[in-house]
This record gives sequence, structure tokens and C-alpha cells, in this order.
Amino acid sequence: MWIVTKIADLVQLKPQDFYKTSLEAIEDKINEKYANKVIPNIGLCVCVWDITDASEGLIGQYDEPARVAFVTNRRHSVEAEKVWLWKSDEETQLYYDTHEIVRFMVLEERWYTQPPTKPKESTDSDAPTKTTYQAPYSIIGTMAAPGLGITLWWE
Amino acid sequence: MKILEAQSAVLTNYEVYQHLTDIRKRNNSSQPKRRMPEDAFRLSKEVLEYLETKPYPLHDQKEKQHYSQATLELLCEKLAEKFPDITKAEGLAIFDVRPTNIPVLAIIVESLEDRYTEEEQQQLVDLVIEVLGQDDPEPEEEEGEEGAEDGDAVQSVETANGA
Repeated sequence: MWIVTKIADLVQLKPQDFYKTSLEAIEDKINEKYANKVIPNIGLCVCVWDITDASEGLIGQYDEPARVAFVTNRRHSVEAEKVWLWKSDEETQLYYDTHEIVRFMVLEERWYTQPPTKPKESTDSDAPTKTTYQAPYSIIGTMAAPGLGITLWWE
Repeated sequence: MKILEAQSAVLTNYEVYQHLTDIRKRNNSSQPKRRMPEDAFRLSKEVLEYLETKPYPLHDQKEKQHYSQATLELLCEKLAEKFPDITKAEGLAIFDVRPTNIPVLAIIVESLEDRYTEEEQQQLVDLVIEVLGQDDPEPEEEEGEEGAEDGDAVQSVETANGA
């Protein structure tokens, strides 16, 4: 599923972007900042859908002109189908081969915000402190229902 | 950064597909060629590839043009007319997934069997095929020919309606 989310943000345009029109420059900056990133409880950002409003530019404190882009719309996806790798055999002998496309039902979305890493403590212990990384956004789904599973079964 | 509206609209796969292909066309035709920032470029490429994968109904959009703004409107209109109980979200999923058989329809429409008789279920599938088309049957042995005739039959029904 794809949704449009309205966001207000301030972006800084540097002199090297001046050859672009301001709308293009703002769009590129926003794409750079958001695309392929997860916003908690919203989803994965794909790209700018539309720029609904942009204010006049402001001059920043380092004499670099900055422009304020207000309200950008982006999309997120909770996909209904995805390549899933799984091997199992059931009584009916349906195999999940690798690289088959399956259809699954989304049961749950899980969000995880990575806390900042601790600063290195004393040098006594050389053992590197392990930080566990977790996907910021995971989807729990099921294929245990009629119509779900490898799409070819239902053709 | 401030989120003004978490969900101001829902988009269909087709709209996303169209938006991304439009951006690509626009960027390629501008002088000098424009390029999206790295992450956005890669992600939009992946999304396009994903949408163009079989069995997604958009996989042959380039050749067949089954999908357009007009078919979306037509589908909404016909659903409202014949199946007014179908919710907006279900309509969206029907448009995106294009269920051409009942088991697939059943995962989209909640408690399908309680809400519609078998006949109505089949009518709904037929409506989807009429408006959104369907994949050409796999060309395997003799069955392929029969399938092709079915496809033609659907088209001629459309023209008959138009006439």
C-alpha cells in the first residue's frame, strides 16, 4: 500500500545547486534526505510526490542562502507481495522454491528506533562493546490461508 | 522536520508506477539530463522493477495499457453500481491486485463468502477482467488456443457494449 504523507521541513541549498531551478533543487534535496529512509510509524519513504508550498528563501548565518521548503508529500509502502525464500513441504506437496513470488497477508508492523551508541568507556577492556542493530521496520505476515502463498498456485 | 498529516492520501500501484515513470521521462528529456539523488534513484528503480514483475498486473502495462486513470474511474463506477458494499480499501486492492479468480478475491474482500453468493463472486471476477483485462494464458499445448479465444471473447464483449 502506498500513502502520501505531508511533511514540513527546512532544507539548505548550497551555491553549487544554483544552476537548478529552485523547485528542482528543493526536490533533489528532499529526495536526498528522505528517500530509502524509514520514518517511525509512517513507513519507508520512496520519493517526493509533490511540493505543495515553498516559502521565500532565507539567508543563513554562514551567508549561504537557504531555502525553506514546506510540505512535501511522500509515499510509503507496505507491500502485499514480495519475494520470500522458504522451503517446506506439506501434505499437498506444495513447494516454496527460491525466487518464487508469494502473496502474504500483513499481520503486524514492527517499528524499532535504534538508540544512539554509547561512547567508548575506559581503555582497560579492549573488548569492543557490541551494539545490536535491528531493522527499523519489519513486517510480520502469514501465508496460511487460501489465496496466499506462491501466486502460481492460484492462477 | 514536522509531519503535518501522516496519511493525506492513499495511492494505487498504478499511480505510483505512473509517477515514477513520469519522473524518469522528465529527467531523461531535460537538457542536460537530470539525475535523482543516489538513494532515490535506486529505490525508484527497484519499485518500478517490483511493479513490473509478473504476476503484477502492471507487468505488461507498456504493451497493453490496461491501466489508466479512466479504467480506475470506470472500476469505481461499476463497483459502486453493482457492488455497493465493497469498501474503498477493498476497491483499491482489487485495482492493485486484479484478482482474476475467486481464491485471490477472497483474500482481498473480507468475509467474501458471507457477503456474496457464488454467482455474485463470479460476477465480480468477471467485472475485474472486463475492466482491467487479464494476462494472456500461458501458451502451453492446446489449452493455450482456447485461452486466447477467451481473451478475444472478452474484448468483443466490450466492443459489443460500446456499439
